[in-house]
Amino acid sequence: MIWIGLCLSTICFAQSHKTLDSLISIIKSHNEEDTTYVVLRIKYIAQKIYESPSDSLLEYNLETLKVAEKLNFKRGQIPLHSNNGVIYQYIIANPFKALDSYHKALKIIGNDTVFSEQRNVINSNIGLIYLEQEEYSKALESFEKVIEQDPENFRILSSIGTIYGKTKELDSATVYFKKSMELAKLNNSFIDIANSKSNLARVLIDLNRNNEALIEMEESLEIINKYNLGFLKPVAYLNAALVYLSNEDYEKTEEYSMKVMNFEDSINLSMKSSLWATLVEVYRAKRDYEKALNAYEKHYELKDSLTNSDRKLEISRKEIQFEADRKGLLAQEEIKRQKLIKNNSLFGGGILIVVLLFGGYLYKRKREAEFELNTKSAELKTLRTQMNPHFIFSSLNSVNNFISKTNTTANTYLTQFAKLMRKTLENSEKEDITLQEDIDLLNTYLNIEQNMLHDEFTHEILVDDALDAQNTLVPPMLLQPLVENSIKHGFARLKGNGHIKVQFKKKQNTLLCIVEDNGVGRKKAMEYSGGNTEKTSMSTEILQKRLDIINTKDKTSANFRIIDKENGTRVELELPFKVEFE
Amino acid sequence: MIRAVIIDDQPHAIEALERVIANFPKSFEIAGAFQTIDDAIIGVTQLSPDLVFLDVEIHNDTGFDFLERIKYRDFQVVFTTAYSKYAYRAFQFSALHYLLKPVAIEDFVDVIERLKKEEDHKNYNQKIDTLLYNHHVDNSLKKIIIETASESLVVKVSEILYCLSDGNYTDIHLIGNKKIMSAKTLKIYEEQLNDFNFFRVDQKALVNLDYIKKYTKGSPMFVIMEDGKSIKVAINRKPQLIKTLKQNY
Repeated sequence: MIWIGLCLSTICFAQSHKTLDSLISIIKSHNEEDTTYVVLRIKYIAQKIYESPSDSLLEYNLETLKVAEKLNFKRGQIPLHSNNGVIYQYIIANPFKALDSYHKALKIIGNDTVFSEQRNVINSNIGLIYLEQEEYSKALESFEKVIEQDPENFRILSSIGTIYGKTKELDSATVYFKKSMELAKLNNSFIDIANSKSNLARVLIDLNRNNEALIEMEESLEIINKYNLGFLKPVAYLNAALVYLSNEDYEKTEEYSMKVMNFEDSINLSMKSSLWATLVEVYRAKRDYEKALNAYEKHYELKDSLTNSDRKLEISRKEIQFEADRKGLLAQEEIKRQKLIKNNSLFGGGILIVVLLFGGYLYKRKREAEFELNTKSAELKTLRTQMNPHFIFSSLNSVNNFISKTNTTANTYLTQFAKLMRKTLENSEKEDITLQEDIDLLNTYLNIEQNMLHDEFTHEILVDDALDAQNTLVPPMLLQPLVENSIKHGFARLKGNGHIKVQFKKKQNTLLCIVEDNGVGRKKAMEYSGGNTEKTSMSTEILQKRLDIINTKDKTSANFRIIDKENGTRVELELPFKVEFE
Repeated sequence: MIRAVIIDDQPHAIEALERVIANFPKSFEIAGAFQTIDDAIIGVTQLSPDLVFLDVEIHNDTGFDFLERIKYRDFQVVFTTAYSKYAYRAFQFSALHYLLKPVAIEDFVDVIERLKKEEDHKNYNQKIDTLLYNHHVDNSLKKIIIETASESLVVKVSEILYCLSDGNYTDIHLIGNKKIMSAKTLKIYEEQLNDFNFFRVDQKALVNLDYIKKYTKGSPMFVIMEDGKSIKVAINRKPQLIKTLKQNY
């Protein structure tokens, strides 16, 4: 994480200490598109890259850039181009576009000494891109520009060491790592001490100075563990495995290899591939040939996919070539000169891995954002299935046409039914609705039944004064099957005097719902229907199932019981008392 | 006597609406009915009705297309639709009326009553303009019509700081210390502003998240709005609010 930290803190004019939301509101209230507006937006971008990076930032940044260009506000354009570069490099992972942006920023800066700090940041990032692309001479060139201005920049010194390690100029590498370590010690930067030590250990192996390597390595591990420098662990552990391997300590080699394995998600392919290659050596030395073979297969497999990533790199190069053709920004000759050299050494990967890890972190954040988007699209799918309702209501409308023009009852019935359907469909998406909405729905249903049965029964719905129906939440339509039972079974043989009373009361922490009728009761209803209770039991079964789901989900104890009265039936349903706003 | 025109691509839908209207022979006269937008543009221009019942989906076009293309627009509009939650949110936004098909008589009466009340406002063009404008812009630019007891006002959604419930009324607070009292409930505004960056923090308050200046930690939690107003957050809305704030900003 150190890299991005270093880059970002100097992207803006001054580091922003404001929170994102306060920045947003300040920007909002700033109506004029002047330089202050640009500065505010730059601060916001810098903060946002840190806190919640996403692709969309690019657009925001470009918009701001346009304003800055319109105002001919050079001081604003520099950090904006630089931001563009950071977004491309670390969020979108398009190093070529990043280079493009960095170069634009550098062009504006020119030789102006006022911006030397920004120039250094940009050159550092450019160097890292080249390092990642294994263009070592170019990387070196960029880093050297930084060192010229800032000779004690130990991170850059360590990066230069990394380059020499990769190009096998081991003596130079040693010098730079040691120099970096010294300066880091002076500045009490444990991260850099640990990182340089680990890298130095790796150089020392190549120099066959295994004992010294072991000392540096163990010191590095000690610091890493002491300060729990998690992001340094994978590469340091891998280096440790290599150091122990060189010292023929196979137990420790295996131990550290396994430790690296724990970071599987955060290490890159080339690291994994080297890891398995190391394990091949370990198992071979331990004469565990089966495991060795297995490790070899894994190593081989990864090498294979690495070649695929090489291909990706090649494609990117083609893309930049195209861009170059189009824009004439980079000379074609130069690109042709670029060759793919894949160096499998992991050497000095520390700095690089830090960058990659942070890149990985940004990528993960991006993935999370994408996941959210997927959830949204799932919701959209559900919405699409609701195209069917359109069909339902169109059909109902057509049916309406066939109903005789004078038959207003049928007309009313149909429109009421359509309303009930519509409300039911709307509510089916929701877990809870307000008690008031549920009562409205129940009323619509009861009115329809009343129409159909030619007013053979009456009904009332009573809500206790202590209850605020607008603020109490209930699962939709839970009572409907109970009411239906009363009508279908309780009143079937009752001519005209049926009555349903629905009550809602608050009882401690529960909502008590009572459905009461003055019908014939369960026993007689069963006799009348010739023992056919299937329908009744089905609706109570459905109710029980819904309650089970609610109880499991919310860890509650919703329940209901049926009470046989002298005349009629009473069902008491107890639900957890839930309000929309507490 | 209201002179009405029906536009719907399905003949039976026209008939169904005619039957509903036939219940009020003293108040309504059906001047014409059209099944395509082209016919409707010519017909409505010639007939100059007081009221147009406009279907949302007309073949491959929409009622919006009709309104965009017709030059003569001195009429009130009631949209008719079979089922489209999203379309009717658009109508609510510009305070235009709609009927769901099949049309229930009581809904019809309700809409006509409301239309009569608005007759003196003479602002249907403003409403239709707002509807069409919203149809073409994305959320950040959308406008909403807020009806007070005496007039209807066009307001940018992005200018609303927060809405406070006052029984059946809602006080809408805008940037620049402006306040409008609407005759609609807060619940209705909550539904309408559902797609925007609004959050119902409490039974009494709906706030625009973009204008929260800061929020207090601890309980009860308060959000402090740009204009300095502090609003209490319901205990059970707090976790969701914090999550939303963290995600968005």
